[in-house]
Amino acid sequence: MEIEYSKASIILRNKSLSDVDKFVLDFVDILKNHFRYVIVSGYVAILFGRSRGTEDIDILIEKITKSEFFNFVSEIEEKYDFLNPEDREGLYEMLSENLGIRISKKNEIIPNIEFKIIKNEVEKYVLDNRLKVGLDKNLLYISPIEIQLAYKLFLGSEKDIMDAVYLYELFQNNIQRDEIEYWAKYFKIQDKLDNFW
Amino acid sequence: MKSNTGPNILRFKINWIISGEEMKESEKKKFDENREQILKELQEEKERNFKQKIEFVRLYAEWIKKTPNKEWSKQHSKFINSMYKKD
Repeated sequence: MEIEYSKASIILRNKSLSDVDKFVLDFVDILKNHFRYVIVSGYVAILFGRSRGTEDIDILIEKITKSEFFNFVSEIEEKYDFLNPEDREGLYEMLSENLGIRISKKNEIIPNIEFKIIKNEVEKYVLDNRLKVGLDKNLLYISPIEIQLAYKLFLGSEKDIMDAVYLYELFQNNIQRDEIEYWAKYFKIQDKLDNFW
Repeated sequence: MKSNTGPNILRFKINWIISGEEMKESEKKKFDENREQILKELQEEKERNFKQKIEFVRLYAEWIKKTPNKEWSKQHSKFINSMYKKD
């Protein structure tokens, strides 16, 4: 894997894009014109080659007003479905209550985007410190790897631990170990991190 | 010494499910008597499998790291696409 890694960005050239990559890139290409966003969780590992599927791609966005949300809905509704039965008022209400809404390509269910508004300081940190990923002509934003890795250990399922192992193996020469330790302490999972090293 | 009671009993249970026969009281007793041993062996197997999966993830990450983007991503996209293939 040839990558150019810096504190704020990763460049990955010549990647043969999967259908899921294309789905995500098409979506964020519209999203970026409306809101600041960050992709978190499983897709981060999949983007860099982890060999597993996922039903959903988790995206966090900044706090938005109802009219901003309605403008966004107007732009995407021709190409995308909202999988929740609510109308746009109801969808905005869900977002305001910190619930995720699901968006898929028209007449498809999987994969879908799970779309949420940031709800606490940690998610705000992830959004403010998002990492830019350049894929040739395409661009997307992901969570910083350090917090992602600690959060995966916090979640703790077999799949999450394997994602954490994969990200660590891949980026161990680029990431800040003390940052992972900070987040592990924050999430109260130092014991899991000790086993992990 | 490692007991092989567990797997034998499991094999018996599979045969019993296939044949559809009623399980006799004596057979039920055999299951109950060895329950703790079977659960211990299954737990050990689960942990062994998990360690093997982690080892594979490490091995796979090593392969990704030393393989050019064009090459690993071609295989990876083929694999990912196959999971979302529509009929």
